Amino acid sequence: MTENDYILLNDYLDGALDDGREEEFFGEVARNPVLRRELNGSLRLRTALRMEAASVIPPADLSSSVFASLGYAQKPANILGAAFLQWGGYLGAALTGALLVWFLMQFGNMQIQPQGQSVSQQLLTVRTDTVVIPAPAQQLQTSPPSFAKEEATVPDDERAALNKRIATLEAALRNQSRAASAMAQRESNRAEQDNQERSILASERDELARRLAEAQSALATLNEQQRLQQNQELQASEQRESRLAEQSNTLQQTLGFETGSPMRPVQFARQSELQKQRPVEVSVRQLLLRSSSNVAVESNDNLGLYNVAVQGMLPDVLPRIIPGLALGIEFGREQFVQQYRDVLNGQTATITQRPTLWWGGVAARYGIRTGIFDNAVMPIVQAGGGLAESGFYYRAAVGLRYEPVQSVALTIGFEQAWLNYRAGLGTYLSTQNGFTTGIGFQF
Amino acid sequence: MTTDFSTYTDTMLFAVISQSAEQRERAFAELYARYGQKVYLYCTKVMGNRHDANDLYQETWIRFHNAALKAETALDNVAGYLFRIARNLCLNKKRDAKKDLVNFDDFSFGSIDTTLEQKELSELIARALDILDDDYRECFVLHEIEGMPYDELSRITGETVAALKNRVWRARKQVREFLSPFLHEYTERH
Repeated sequence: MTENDYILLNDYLDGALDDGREEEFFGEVARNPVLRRELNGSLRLRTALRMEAASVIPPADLSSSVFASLGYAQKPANILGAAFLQWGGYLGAALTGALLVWFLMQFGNMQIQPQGQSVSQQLLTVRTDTVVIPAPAQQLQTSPPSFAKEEATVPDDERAALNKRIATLEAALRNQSRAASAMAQRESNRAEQDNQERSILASERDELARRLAEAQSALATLNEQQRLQQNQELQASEQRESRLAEQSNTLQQTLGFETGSPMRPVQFARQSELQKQRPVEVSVRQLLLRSSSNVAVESNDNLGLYNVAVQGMLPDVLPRIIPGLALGIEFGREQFVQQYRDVLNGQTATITQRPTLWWGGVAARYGIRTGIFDNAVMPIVQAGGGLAESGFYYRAAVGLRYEPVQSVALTIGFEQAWLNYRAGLGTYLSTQNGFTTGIGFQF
Repeated sequence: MTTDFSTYTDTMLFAVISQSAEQRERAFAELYARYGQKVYLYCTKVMGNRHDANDLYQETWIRFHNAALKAETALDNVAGYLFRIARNLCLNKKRDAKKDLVNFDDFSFGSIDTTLEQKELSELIARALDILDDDYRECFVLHEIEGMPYDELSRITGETVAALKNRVWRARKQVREFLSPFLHEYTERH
């Protein structure tokens, strides 16, 4: 259906088509089945609407209520009858229109040849002589039919009574009107009061909103300050950690350890202590002679039993060339007991010598830290030599050195020594070996 | 000798209500007979429920009557004035309280015997009108059902004729589409 068809259809339903356009419309209806269907549906709708509308009338008690509220005693007019008169005309016209559509649907494809009459008139005239030309919608909107109401003849005395009653009721109505006006005034006052209360509530709400906004702003400021403070503390902490790490690295580098060494803290502390060797170490050494010999005597049975010496060493006097290697100067006084057999004048005699002598020289000690007891125990190789009172001396030993606390060292090992000594009128060379123990203190 | 008010025009009847205390009641009854059903139809279709329609219908006539009592000049278009009162009341009512869903039980109004079929049709039409916007429904009821011309409708609503036509045509299309499954069957039976 085109836009023009739509306009024609609605204008027809509105009764707004002049003769020329009405002819055009019916010509189109005859040709166009869609438009014909639309027209049919529209007329059916109008029929249904107006049939239904005829049934909608005010209830009798409602009409009575209207009249009573106005102070009228008169029974309301017969609206139902008027409605049927009115809507009956409408329905007749609408049904007639529907009949037209039926015709158009049945014979819609016929040729239209207007000859002075409208197309619809021609159609109906051609097909039947008894069908009335459908009333256009405008005819449906004619004034409602007049309402015939019976007049009653009222005697004068009753009329006077009725007029009196009317006057009374009018007075009552005026009173009602005044009461209604007063009520309206009260409602107006109440509305004004409500408005004032609403205004107060609105201002209070605005004030609360303002305070809330201020509190939120203050809270946001506090949060920001706290965040900045936390950031500063975090930065300071990071700086402290960075400084500590840097110091640790520096310390480790200073102590000869690589950064990131897997060494445990206790080991590190122990190592640090052991690195701090004091310059002077005084030790007491005892040699349990396993054997000794004297080249100057015939018999060389070794009866020597012990050797005790006090010696000093300066481990840090000479610079350390290799880690773990200590060079120093040693000196001491030593006494040992040596017993041997000798044949004098054909008789065998046992001779005991207890020589005491001073000696001094250089010594070297090399220790390997293996991690045993947090590096407190290390294997050592020690050697030294120098001058004694009656000649040279040489000494070499291997063993273990244990440093239980700082500045204290315990040693145990096997020692081989050569020593010239003087006893009586002679000078002897003693070759000694055996287990040795000692304890030293650094100062 | 009583006057036959059925021959009076609306304007004449309005003037009688204004000026003649003796004839007022009968003149009002005549106008009520002419327009009571139309006003009631308008109220029910626009409001969509019987309760509000009854209240507004009664209030319409009371206001009309009070206005007639105070009138000092002639009123040319009495029907238009009556519908303007009804329309203002309906608009105010709808503005005050948002319209509730239509209760179809409310549509069993009418003082005549209503068959089940008639009731069914009333419910269908009420449902069809309910899908329309308020502006469309008002124009559709006044023009399509009540048969009010566009120019009269324009005077009541204050809208242009073109705008009113547009509303009626659109409403007509919507209602027809909604009711089309039922229309054929219903009209065939009648």
